[in-house]
Amino acid sequence: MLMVNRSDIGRIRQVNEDSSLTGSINDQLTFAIVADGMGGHQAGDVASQVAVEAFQRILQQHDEISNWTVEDAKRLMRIAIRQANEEIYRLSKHMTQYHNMGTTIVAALFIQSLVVIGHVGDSRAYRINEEKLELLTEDHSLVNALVKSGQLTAEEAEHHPRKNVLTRAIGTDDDVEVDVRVIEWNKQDLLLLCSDGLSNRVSEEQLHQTIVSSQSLQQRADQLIELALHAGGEDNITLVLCDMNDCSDRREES
Amino acid sequence: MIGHDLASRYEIISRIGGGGMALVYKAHDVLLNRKVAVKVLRQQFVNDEEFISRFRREAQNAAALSHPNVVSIYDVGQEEDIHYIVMEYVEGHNLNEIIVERAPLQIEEAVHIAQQICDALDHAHANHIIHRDIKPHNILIGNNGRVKVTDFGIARAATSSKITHTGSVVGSVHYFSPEHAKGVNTGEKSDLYSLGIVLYQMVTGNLPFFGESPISIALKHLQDDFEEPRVVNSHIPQSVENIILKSMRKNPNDRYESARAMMADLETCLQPHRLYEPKITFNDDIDMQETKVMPAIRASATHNDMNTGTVRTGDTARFSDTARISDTASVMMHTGRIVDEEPQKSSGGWKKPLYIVLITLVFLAALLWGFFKLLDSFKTEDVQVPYVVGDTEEVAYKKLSEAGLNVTEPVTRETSKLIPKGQVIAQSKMQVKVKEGAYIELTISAGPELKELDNYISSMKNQTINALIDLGIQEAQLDFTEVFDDSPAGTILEQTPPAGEEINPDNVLISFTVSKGPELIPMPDLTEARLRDARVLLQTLGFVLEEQDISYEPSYLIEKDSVISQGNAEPNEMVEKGTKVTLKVSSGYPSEAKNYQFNVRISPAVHGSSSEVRIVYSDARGDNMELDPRTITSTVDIPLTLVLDPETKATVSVTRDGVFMDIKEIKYKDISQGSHEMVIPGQEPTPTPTPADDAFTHGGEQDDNTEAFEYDEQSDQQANTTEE
Repeated sequence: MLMVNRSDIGRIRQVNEDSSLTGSINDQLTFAIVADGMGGHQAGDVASQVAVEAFQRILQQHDEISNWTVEDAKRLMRIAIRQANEEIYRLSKHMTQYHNMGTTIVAALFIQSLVVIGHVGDSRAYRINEEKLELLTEDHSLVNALVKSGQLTAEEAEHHPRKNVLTRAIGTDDDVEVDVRVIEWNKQDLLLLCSDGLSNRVSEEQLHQTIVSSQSLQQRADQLIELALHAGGEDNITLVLCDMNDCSDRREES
Repeated sequence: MIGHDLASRYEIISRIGGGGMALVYKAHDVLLNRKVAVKVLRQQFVNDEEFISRFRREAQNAAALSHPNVVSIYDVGQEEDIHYIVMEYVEGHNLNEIIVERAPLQIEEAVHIAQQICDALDHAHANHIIHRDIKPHNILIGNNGRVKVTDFGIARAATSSKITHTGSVVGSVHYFSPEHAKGVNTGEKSDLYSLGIVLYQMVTGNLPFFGESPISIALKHLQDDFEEPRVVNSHIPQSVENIILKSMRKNPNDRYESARAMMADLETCLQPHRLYEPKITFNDDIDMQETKVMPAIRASATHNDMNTGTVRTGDTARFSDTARISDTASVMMHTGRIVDEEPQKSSGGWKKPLYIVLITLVFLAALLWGFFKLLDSFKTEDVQVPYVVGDTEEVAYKKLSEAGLNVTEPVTRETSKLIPKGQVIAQSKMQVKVKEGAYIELTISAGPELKELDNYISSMKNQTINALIDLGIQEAQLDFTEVFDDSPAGTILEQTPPAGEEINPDNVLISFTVSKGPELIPMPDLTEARLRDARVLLQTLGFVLEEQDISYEPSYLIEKDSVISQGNAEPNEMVEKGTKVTLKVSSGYPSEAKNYQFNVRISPAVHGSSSEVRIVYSDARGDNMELDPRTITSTVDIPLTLVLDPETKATVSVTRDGVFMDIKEIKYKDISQGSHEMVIPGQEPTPTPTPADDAFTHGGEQDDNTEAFEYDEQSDQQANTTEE
């Protein structure tokens, strides 16, 4: 499997509050994570970093498990994300400079032909193949809640002024509900994890076209960043693109 | 912050509140000798320039308001990274406290409060300022009963960065108008809706919509009916209910035209002839079910939508245009195959003419060759030498041999910047006739002179540029990407193409990754953080904390296992990742320190009425610490834990209703002499025996608190007796 991990500060922001990481535990369990921090300077960036590190640390603490089942992975996903929540919440409670910081998370664990996706907030996971691009996560945002309740149409939601309001985030409460789902994987499928700096700026058609193009995975990832920058780059842009079909060695790019 | 002297003018006295965005302090304005409230922006926003400018702009707008029911803004300023707003200080309570304490309020009082809020809104709206966050917390009621609305427009400042609807926002969402919840154009009528909710809450004691999450509440504002006020509290006159029903309409068009119109209605609603007026009806009561449609909002939303629709089509169009252009470009590349064969040149300006000349020449040569071929059929001994300059080696050989000529071997090969590799640069004879079988010398291009690229990794950027310029490479052909790295700034970390590769100095593009030195990041302020939090944070940020660098010492001020101070880097100092940090951590109070339980028993100034009590104390931990002020309505015991050490004495001073009552000093050696307490009695409304007697005679009538205490006291006495 080949994974490409890209992050760009964008054109406006002074700090990159996004964090991302790909890797594997014991060459067994491959993971990818994207976190989009919030809470202002020296808080949002800290929140997303703490989230990514806590997530990785929890995975490493479970490296003695050798035969991963889907149930294990689902459980681990919840534990790791809730641990991140706890650590960020504690910092924000006890240190005034981190008051109210938080982050989103979208993470994937790969088990044979299955992928376990966990998320909180408005960072997204997509499955992409020649035919279609499919959103695997449901944003925990005000706008999405309004769409689900029939108050807004999808088009109205796309340019809604309050897209920035989340209904769930990591680190803002003492516990958090994590959405976890398991996806069957076909060989032709690609997985995209991204912060809203990409998904808010680049249309789904553009995402799809770019991701199924014939360039190398790195070039496709770079082009996605370019598209988001071209569309304004108001926010930090972070993405992880995974090609399970790529038989070259497991490796990470950053 | 407390004790800080802001702008050499405002002495911060105590903290009186705080929200998600700012903390509010009571302060003394030294210049004008008056109390003020200072709102200080929270630390995490101080580097967000966009936010700061919005915050200041909104504050300045609100400063333009001048009205008896609006909290005046005196000053907006900045001192280093402290951004603040100085406002009128209102002695009293906010409406939320009053609602919590005693809602439902008297109808007259509620209407009177709503009227004054309306007056404030009318003034603001006339100045084109929408409040956007009307809620009881933002409505202050002075001790004189005057209503003052605060925080005009400030809510707007906090809308750009990602936020969650938890914590501080929960308070606001109960008062959000449907259009606000939906996120579209909030206007003057949104403030009226929020005021309707506040009025509802004042007269019923309930919120019209509640739910377990902010989102479910927001959705209820959009689509649910609420329990009508008179169902909750039948004492509410119909006229007042009508006002609430009208201001809380989901469709802004159904609400009052303006704050002024609502105020006029509030002014007369309690006149006797209006109390039993008929219940208000709305023409489109179907609308109650169909609130989802909300015509006004829809209309503008659709308008928005059309706009964005246009933008998006534009985008697609642009995108497909680019696609088309690049398609055409690639077609061109394919037709001009000759171009493909020639490596790119640094100066492409005259490439085209050259090709045209070459192609023309080739064409002419072919014509000539045909011509001479024709001549050949007449003359046999002499042949015209074909012109082969510009032909490829293969074509030239073929043409010459077809002409019956030979090529002198080996051919001369010369490097050339202009002629692509394998093309004929020159021929020894041309445009002459020679004997059949004669030898022609050819000079063939070996292509541009290639050079082997050296290794530049670990060299410095400037030396590398000089070395490459010496090779004939232009600076524009070099690309440098700077990254953070532990090596010194300017060190080359990677190069493409790699060392040893043959390159053409004229058109090679070399990219380098260059170190810009180690990343500098600000050291967090760890003071008072718990050690485990400090560990997580330092590890996350990439700093190093080694066990031997943690030292423990006793402290009066910092609680056990929290950081007293940090060493090696000051808070907010920009330092390299990997910097080692030393920490001094509290091991708790020094061993000689003793906790000491002190008790203040205090009664209200006059029994049966309420009094505000303030207790200020000093002990080994510090001077002039203050307990949260509290309001008492009967005799209470206020326990206070003091920390004593041999060097300092502790003092406790008590103020009741702003009048200093008593001060007590406790020394270390006093600890052994039993417990201490301070008793501050109040006045009885009617003449009664001494307070001590009073406690016994009226014990049964007093509140639980005191009763319990008396019981203790009695049992203490019993215990004493048994000891004796």
